[in-house]
Amino acid sequence: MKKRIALALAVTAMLPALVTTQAQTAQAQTKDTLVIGMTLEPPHLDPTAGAAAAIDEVVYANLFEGLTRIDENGAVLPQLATSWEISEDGLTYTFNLKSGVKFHDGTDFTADDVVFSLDRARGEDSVNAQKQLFAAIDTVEAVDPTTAKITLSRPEGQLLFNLGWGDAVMVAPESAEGNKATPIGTGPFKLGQWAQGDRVELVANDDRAKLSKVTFKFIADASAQMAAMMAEDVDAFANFGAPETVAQFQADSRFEVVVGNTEGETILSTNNTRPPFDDIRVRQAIAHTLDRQEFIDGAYFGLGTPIGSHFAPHHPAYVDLTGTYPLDLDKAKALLAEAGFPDGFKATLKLPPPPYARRGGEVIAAQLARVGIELEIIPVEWAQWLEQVFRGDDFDLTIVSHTEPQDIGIYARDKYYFNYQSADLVAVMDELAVTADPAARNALLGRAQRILAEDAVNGYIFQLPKIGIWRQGLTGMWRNSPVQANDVTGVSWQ
Amino acid sequence: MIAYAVRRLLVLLVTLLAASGAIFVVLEILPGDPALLILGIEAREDTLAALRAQLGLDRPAALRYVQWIGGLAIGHLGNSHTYSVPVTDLIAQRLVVTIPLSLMALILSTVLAVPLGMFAATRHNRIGDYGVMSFSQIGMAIPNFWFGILLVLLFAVTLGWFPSGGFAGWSAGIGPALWSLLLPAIALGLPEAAILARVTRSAVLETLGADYVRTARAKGVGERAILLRHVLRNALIPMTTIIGLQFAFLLAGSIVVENVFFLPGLGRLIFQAVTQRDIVVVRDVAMFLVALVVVVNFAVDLAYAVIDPRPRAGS
Repeated sequence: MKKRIALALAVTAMLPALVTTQAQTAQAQTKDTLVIGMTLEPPHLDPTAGAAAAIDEVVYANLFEGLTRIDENGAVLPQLATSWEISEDGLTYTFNLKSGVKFHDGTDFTADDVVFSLDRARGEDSVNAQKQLFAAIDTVEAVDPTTAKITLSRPEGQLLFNLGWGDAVMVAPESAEGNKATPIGTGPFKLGQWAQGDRVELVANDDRAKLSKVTFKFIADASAQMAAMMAEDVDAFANFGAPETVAQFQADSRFEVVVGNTEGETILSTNNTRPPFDDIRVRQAIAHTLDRQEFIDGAYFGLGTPIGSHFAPHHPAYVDLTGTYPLDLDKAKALLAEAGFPDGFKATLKLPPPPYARRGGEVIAAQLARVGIELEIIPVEWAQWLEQVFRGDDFDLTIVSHTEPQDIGIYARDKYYFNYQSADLVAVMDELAVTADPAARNALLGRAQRILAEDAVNGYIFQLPKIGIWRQGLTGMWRNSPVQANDVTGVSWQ
Repeated sequence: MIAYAVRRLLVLLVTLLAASGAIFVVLEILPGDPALLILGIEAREDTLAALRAQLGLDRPAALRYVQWIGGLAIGHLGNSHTYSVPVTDLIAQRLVVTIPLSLMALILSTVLAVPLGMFAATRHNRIGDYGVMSFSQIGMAIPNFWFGILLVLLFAVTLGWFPSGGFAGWSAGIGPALWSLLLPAIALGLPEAAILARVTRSAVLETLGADYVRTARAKGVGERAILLRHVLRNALIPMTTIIGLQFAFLLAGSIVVENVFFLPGLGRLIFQAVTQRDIVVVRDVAMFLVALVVVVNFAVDLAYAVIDPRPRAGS
């Protein structure tokens, strides 16, 4: 009896090993599937009803499409709209739509769907997380099945870019309500299966898809991400969560490591109306104390680009302002003394969960201590951060990455959590809204960056890197992420 | 026996009710607005209000508590805020991972710990005893997430015998499914085995010194028969207590282990739900876990009555 049990155990133990080996060999011969690892699981799959980046990271361009789309470099490209005309006054946009497009459930995509999608996104009961993208839209009309017309109440220079966001994708009235669990879009991939907590599988819907199946696997733990990659259970991580192990992957010929930029300006966000931070000399002193490279080395293992204002370095309008207030502790102390704090002061630093904040917070606290500013570190969860810091105004300093694309406009808002007010900046932003010429726009954006840098509104630290790691032979993965997406429509194995 | 069972059942119901109140109050005072977390920093006031109404968060707390308890009583657990699917479905999907995982860990730890504990007891203060006790010390000291990472690095990354994590799914067959749970079960079960080995050792040691064991020896009963028939049977009570308690620890430990091995289990569900302020899921799953632990304890209480009739006579 004992022997039989032992034998049975041995056989059971070996069986799965045999099965997996066979499966792996078969996969290696005809590889047209892809497993992408992601840190967070999307709460649901409707990009028009939630702010979670993980939603777009699964569905953007793959499953859902918009009138326009944003590519790897941040440029606006036609998608469901093949072309458009803009009226002289900039108030009327006429879109010519692709014909013959079908949703995954077989219904036709027409101008009526454009009207439905945009009216739903900006409507009364809308739960769209980016409703302000559509704020300038007055009416949306279907001229004929393949022509849609958008009329604005004021010029909006960013409209084509805004329509390329995941929050502006086209959905159908028949299926929109169910998109959270069973998303129906027009993209080259459709939903195969969603095993909640584990993975989402997208399968090819038509011949535009270069892969037959793409699996998004959710691995939150950084060391588990590293192990999954090393064991080749996952083919790619577009946003790898363990920067401390990047060197190991760089040294391994099985993998390719591509470090690009995200849209995440990582800043020491400062409550501009709370004393002593309402004194520009105090903020300038902090700026003179920041050692960006030390922060990047300590918080992100040397990966990432220093920034001197609230703007992404990969954008054509970027101006390098990291030298506005160079590292100078004596100057910082002098400024503090001038502001009435010769011995420094005490303040709090609230840190949300991401490693850049938790690890970076220690670095910032050590740096500010050099000029006598003593920080009490308070770790908070995201839900608390949103409630206390972002909405409740209850903070001195916090570290956060502003990941929305091209979001310098937040500084011109009436009431934004860091409480900055500047008539100069508002004037620049107002001018930007009615300027369409790219060169003129870039010049305005440059001016805005300078105003923020000189006012030392926040401590500008670094642009959060996008650490991509994938197996050799995989092509078409994005280097940068101008929008939060894992666009796999151009990805294939060589 | 029946009166005893009824009394235990009443205690069980009161415990559940008290737990539901505690869970509800804690979630009520937990900072963080679920609607804000879902819609993010660009959300406008009207959008937030629309979502709060959609989620039913605009209703008074007392009403929401009564609705929740009423729903529980008829088996209706509500929909997850984030996933927008019934919580019952979510729990069912996750249980097929967590229950086998916990059971495997329980079986592994028992199979490992009981013989080791008995072995140590019979070699009291000799080298074998010291060996087992140092194993037990180490086992208790190693955090299971770290042990899990070590297992993955050795068996998945270096040797390639196991997947680095994830659950193959029962649809892939029993073999691969159990195979993918084996490393997590070891990581989860080791600290429990260490504790159980200690308890077994001391329980066996205590009974070994009892009068009836001396009597049995005097009658000339063989050592093996003494150990199995007299000692083990009497040592079972403290062991059963620990195994019952361990079940709760295994469920709690699965939160950590499921994260390291990215298993879609109940532990990971509740962890995610807490960070996403998916209150419906958190309170339902917490309630479910409480119920599970309370029911297991109830079963353990009844098991005592079977193993040893004294507790029910005394109470």
